Amino acid sequence: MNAFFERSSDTIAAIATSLGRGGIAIVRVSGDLAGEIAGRVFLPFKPGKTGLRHRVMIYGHALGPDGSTIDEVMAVFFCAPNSYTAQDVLEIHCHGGSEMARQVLSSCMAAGARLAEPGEFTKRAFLNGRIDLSQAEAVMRLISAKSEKAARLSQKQLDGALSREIASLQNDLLDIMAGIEAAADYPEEDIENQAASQTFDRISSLCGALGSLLKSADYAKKLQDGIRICIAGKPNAGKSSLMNALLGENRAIVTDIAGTTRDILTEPLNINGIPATICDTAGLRASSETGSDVIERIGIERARAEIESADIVLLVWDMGEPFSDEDRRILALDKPKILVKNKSDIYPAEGVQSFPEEVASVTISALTLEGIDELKRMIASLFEESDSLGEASLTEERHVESVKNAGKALALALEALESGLPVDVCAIDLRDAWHHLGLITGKTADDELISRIFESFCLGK
Amino acid sequence: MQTKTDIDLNSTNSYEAVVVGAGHAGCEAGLALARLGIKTLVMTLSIDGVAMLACNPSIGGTAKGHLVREIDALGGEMGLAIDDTFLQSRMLNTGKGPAVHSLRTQADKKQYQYRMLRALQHQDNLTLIQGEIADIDIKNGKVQGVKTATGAYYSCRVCIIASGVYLKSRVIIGEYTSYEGPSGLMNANPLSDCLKSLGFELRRFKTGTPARIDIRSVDLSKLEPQSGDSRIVPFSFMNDVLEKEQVCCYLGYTNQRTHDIIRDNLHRAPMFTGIIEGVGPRYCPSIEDKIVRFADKDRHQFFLEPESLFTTEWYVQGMSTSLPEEVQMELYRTLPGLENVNIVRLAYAIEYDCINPTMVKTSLESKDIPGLFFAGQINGSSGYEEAAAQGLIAGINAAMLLKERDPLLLGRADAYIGVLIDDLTTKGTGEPYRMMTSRAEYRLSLRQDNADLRLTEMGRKVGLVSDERYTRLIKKKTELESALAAIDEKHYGPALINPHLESIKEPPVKSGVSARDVLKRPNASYEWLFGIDPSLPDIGPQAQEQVEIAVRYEGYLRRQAAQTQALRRMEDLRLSENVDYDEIGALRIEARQKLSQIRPQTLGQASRISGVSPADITVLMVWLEKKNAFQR
Repeated sequence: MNAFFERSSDTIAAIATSLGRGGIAIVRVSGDLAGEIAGRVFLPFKPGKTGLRHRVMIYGHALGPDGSTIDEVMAVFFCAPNSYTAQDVLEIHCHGGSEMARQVLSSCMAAGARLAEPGEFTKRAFLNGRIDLSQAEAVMRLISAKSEKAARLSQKQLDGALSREIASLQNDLLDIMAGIEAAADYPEEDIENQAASQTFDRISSLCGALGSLLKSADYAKKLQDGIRICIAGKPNAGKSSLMNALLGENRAIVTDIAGTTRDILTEPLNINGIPATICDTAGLRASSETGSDVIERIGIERARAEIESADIVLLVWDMGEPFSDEDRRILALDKPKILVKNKSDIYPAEGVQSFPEEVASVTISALTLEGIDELKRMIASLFEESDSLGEASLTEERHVESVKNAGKALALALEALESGLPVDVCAIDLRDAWHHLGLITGKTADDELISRIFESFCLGK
Repeated sequence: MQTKTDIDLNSTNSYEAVVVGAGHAGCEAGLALARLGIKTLVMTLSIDGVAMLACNPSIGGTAKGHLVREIDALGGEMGLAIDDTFLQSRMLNTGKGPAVHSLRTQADKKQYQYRMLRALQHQDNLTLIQGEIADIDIKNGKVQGVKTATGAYYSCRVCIIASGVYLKSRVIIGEYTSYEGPSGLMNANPLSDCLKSLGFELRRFKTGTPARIDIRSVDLSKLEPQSGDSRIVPFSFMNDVLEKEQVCCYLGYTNQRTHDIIRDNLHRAPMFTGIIEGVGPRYCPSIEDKIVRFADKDRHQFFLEPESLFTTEWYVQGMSTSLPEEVQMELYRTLPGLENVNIVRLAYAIEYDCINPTMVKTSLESKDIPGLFFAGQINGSSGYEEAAAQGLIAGINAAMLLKERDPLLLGRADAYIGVLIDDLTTKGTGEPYRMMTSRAEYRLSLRQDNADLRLTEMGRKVGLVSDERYTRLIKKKTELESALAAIDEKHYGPALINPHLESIKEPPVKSGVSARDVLKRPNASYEWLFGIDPSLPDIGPQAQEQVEIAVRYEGYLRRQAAQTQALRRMEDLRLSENVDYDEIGALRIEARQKLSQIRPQTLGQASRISGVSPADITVLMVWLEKKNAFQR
């Protein structure tokens, strides 16, 4: 069933600007509830001002569901039909960076909006006669392209541990359902009839798993600072110098002494328009070399964790030094990375050592800033290629919504069982839950249930 | 052939409709057409094979019982015929929710056949003739008539193919194979080629049946008797009570010896030797299949079921096999009580041709050849009830076509019949398709007890529902409405109601409650409450059941109602058959191909095609809105 049409009269909300870029993020709300939502999510600054007027931008606070202030924002209201969608539209302009906008969006959803489908604002605009066919066709291509991109992104996320867990929960759920369905469709077979209490326990444990999934999945964190770039390498390779060179200021302490940087140093940075966080890490060397310096060892452990979680790794290599095992290990990581060959001021001739050819590399001097612009350009293009955060966040928001909905459906099933309703009736809720999880894993076909029944049970005349 | 045609072209050979086959689909199709005033010819390979129950001697069961109820509610024959001829009746799943309560009967195969034959032969407008249709005459893309293998020509404007498993059917028993129909009947070959030449994509399916044994050679004391319900619920909404002396069935289990024999002879099993090419159903595995796939199960159950009061033949449910004859003999004799059993008819597998059902519309009319309909196993389904349901719909819609009226299209939210037809025509099927309650996503609304409330009005509009049936519906509806209104109005104080609640082991109330709240208690019934408060409407048992379900499952029913409404909105958006999906650039290529191939009739149907994504549906909707291509 296509959710799109079930609820075309709903009030929808989404972040209208692309995430992770630009100084302003706009949360757009369209539908009958837009006015009501404005009243709950936006508080004008000027005392005495009660609300929003058509096409007038007002300064104020965006409020969370509990009334707490999220951000200082500008808000504007468009009364139907004089808006993009020809419905009541609320726009809240937040500070750029994804976290604020996401909080405002969540608050709008708490106030009654649901997350918009890709292209849904435009679809409404079109259906309400605001744009013509050629515009609509252009938008349709976009919807189509976007959804393919979203599908690709989902697929990417499916490789992650979180998605594996969701798939495994969906699998468990399917087992419970298959048991109930097999017993309903084959009452005379000697299937172990799952006792209602056992079904109850299995569902409530699934319910708990979904709950902790929601808590642990702190999607916002990954996004709030944009793309995370980690500078790694051996001690004294010039990591801190590179950080300062990229920041354009002396933020990291630079000395000739190996092991000066002991903790992670993190700074926001804008690389060719892309918001990023750059972090300098302790130089990686074997514990035999660090001697008894506990602090440095802890620093190295943290550095390794940081390298794992970073979106892009810059491996700094002092061209005068041999490649270490750590260097090779980092180059072997399955994530975007750039080999930064440093100290071109000392070693002008390239290729002192051989290195894996497939790794993107650039020769720089952190001291003279030679090659820094080229490095920035490479980081930017890696970001573009990596389909990174900007759009993924939307899908993730959707995933959170799906997990929540699945949890709600399971709670209904438990409630039904508790009130003594037969287990095949609560199968309706389980099916709902399964479909919600399927929106993440892409498995929503009913055929899967039928297949599972026949895989798990020996049935038939 | 042409000359003979010319000679025979007289009024006696001229019909409006021809039904090919008189199995469960053909019988319902022929009766529906004739009852709707259409001059109908039903042609069967053998009049002795009319309404034959070629496999198990039972009608109904989970989901299938729902289908029978729905056939009955629309004015079909199956429910009435089985009520007249059953040997045992049971309501299955009574310990579960009302959605999965399913009526199942043991049928007297012989009586059932004669009961149906009588209906056909006494039906006005209907002619039943024995013969083989070899060719369908299509001119200018329209059905003109049919030709028989012996050379006769019958003109007609619509034709329903209900050929069952008979097209190029092949029986397989071990190494032995023979091109023939079930139970030694002849098969039909030319019609298969004819369909192929008309452009229908043929596929090969397989099914199987166990041996029939002589009950006199069985020691029944070693088996567990299974009797029918003491209170018989009729299949037909036309019957209130049925009284009958019922026969027993018997339950037993396979053992290690059974399994050893099968394992020792697996190399001779057609499913492993490669003799069988067709795709068999997962839900109806042979015993060798069960033992291979569920190797860790140390026993499987089997049932002995009578075939007819007139014969000593019994059916061994659960023991379908295509192993060689001598292995079958050995195998069956390992079963408890069957140590000296005599096999009357061997178990066998049968392969047959059927068409890809995505080539027919939800009306069951061919997408390419107007007037040509398909029903039953030819569409890849399996089961008497599935066949009868399609036969009824094909018959009705062929009549509607002749009368230039809108077809009767049942959706997934209307009936199991709708689920069945939508699954077949939208998704197709990779194996013989059996109805299951798990296939019906709105099954709490599509219960067997409310099939009349859901469908009889539609049957009335079509013209198949008699005055008597319609009057019964109106009475039930009126009773239901009056009771539903009354239970909200009536209130009881604790002093009055608590002693009664106590008597049915329900906790007492502290303040006054409505009759509705009282009925929500799991142990309460309308009849019980009526005993306490005779001022409640005095309604029949069928209406009582409806009230109880409506009250107890209120929340879920309301949710399903909202879901089905959303579905209906999608189904109301009708798509033209002539949409050129290649023209819609924003559709993904896979979606374009699938849509062009299936040519869905509604946006809802389009959304259920595998390979068509929600984004494609959005694109489609936007495009269609603009082109005004919706045929509302």
